[in-house]
Amino acid sequence: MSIKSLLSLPILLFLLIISIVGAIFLGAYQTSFAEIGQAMMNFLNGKNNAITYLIFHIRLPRILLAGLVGGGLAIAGAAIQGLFRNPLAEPSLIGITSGAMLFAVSSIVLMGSFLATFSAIFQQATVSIFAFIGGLSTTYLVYFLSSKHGRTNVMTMLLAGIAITAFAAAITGIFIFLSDDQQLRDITFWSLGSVSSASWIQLGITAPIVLIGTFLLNTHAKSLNAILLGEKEATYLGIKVEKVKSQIILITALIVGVSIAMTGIIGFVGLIIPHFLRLIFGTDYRFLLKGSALLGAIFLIIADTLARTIIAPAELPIGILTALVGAPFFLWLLLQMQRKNSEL
Amino acid sequence: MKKIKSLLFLTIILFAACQNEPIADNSAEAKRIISLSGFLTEVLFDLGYGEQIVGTDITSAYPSETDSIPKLGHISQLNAEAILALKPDYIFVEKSQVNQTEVFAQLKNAGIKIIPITTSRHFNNAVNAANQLKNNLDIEEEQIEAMAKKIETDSLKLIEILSNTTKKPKVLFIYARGAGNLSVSGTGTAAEAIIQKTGGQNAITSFENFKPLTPEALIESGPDVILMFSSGLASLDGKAGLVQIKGIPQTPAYKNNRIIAMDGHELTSFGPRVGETAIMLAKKLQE
Repeated sequence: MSIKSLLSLPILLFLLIISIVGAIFLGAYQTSFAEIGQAMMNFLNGKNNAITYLIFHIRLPRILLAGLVGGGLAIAGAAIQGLFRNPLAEPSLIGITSGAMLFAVSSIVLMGSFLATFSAIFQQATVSIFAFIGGLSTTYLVYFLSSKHGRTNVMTMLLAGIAITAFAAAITGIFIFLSDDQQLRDITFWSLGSVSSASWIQLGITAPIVLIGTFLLNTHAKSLNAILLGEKEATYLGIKVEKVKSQIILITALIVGVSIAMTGIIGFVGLIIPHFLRLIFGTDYRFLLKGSALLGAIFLIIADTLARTIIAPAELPIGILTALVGAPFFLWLLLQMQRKNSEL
Repeated sequence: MKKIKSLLFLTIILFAACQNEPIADNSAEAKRIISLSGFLTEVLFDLGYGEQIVGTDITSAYPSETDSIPKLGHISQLNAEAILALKPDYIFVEKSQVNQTEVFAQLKNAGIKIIPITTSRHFNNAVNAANQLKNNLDIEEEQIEAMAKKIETDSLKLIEILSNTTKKPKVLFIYARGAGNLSVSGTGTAAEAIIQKTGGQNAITSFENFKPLTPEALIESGPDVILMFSSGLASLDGKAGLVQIKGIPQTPAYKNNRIIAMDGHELTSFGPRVGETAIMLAKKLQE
């Protein structure tokens, strides 16, 4: 690992802490230092008032969920790009997103009239569970289709992923056609993503999956570096490529599946964050995986802070912001790099 | 016997005290209100509570004073924090929409009172809503009576108009959001309710709710009148744009130039002005 990238990990960690603290202070509801201190005291003493509730049950959970989902999506993206040795790869390529979308939409439409009488939290939980199952089962299908005699052909997997994605999108289209106005609106907002309903229960489910997943993906950093040379070459280097492959796909599916289940579809993070780091620091997965997790978390926390403040008292779906803020910035970086290269 | 009497007296007093409690609560200063429904906003303004509204949803566009009230967006995309920042005493929401978002649970836990109001598609909708609002707001009985009186007078006029005719035109309601996005109303919609109450019949009875418009179904339904929201007709660039849609020129409605466009909120909210709206529509249908 280069010194530059070694140094940048503590810096990223520091920035993450700053963005969490900053996000706690910022919001439509103006809060002063004193008020937040008071809220903390109340929280520790088990007392509850409006500001304590606001900070600890509305603002903090959504900041943490944004961080977990952002970090999870980014590291999953980095790992998938490494596995496929393809810069355009992202988790949605192996069917996770389209499968989750299909199942979520079908649960919104098919059970809409039935579920309408239940509370919003129960409805949301149902959609979440469906999305999670959908993401995982579609990924399994893609993996199953491209595996033969214990070997998984990455090329086949990519193509199978594209075909399954198109198929799932078509069935999603049927459900969208069948949906009424209300359901259509739910579907639209779901596919734009939001962390606004974050709760401690959601965090309790998401945190273990994302954190353990991140740790496990990190253990494969060296293998991914070797796979960069080619699968055969990696095998000669003593890497158990098939085992690495199946583990990475499983962990990625779990991380992305739970993220989508909790927040809907938040695009762009998984693709752009790893690339951003690659452009600056080069491709070394020992750094890239950790760096992506940290930067992804920072990015989504900032995006969500913007989502809930810039058009307050209303709120912007976060999926819009990630692309709106991220894309121009990424293009700028791309042009900078190009200029630098041509100067050399 | 005396004991029983005094016990009875005590019970009555206690009972009265219980009844009085919410009113005592109301007599305090002006409450800060959030209304998450265009219909409820109009009712609140009609009852003189417009100035106490500190936030509305995106469907609240009448009266024009609502323009200066902070808009909280669509009801399924609320920002809990921003709502807390407005420090509302009450959030009024239509009962059918109370399960729309988890944000309500968050707000309830933060100590905000969320009051669901039952609504219907009848002329007494606004009066019913006003009576429910009275549980939380200090609304005077006379104001509700005035509202009821106005609607009643208009209903009587409407009955008179309809009693002089036997025509029952087939009305097709088209919901348009631009040329590529047209649906027609089946049964069970607010549009059907107002059509039936104003002496028309729904041109489509073969399905519930809204379905995308197809040229064949359009011609088959053979509507005498096409009814649209003004905003919907505007989204097609008016009648000139409507002709461009396949099947429209073949309908009796188009041939006889019977395209009616009315304000969407007025037409489907069954609010305090429902009587006027119904008379206007009934007259147009009978032309």
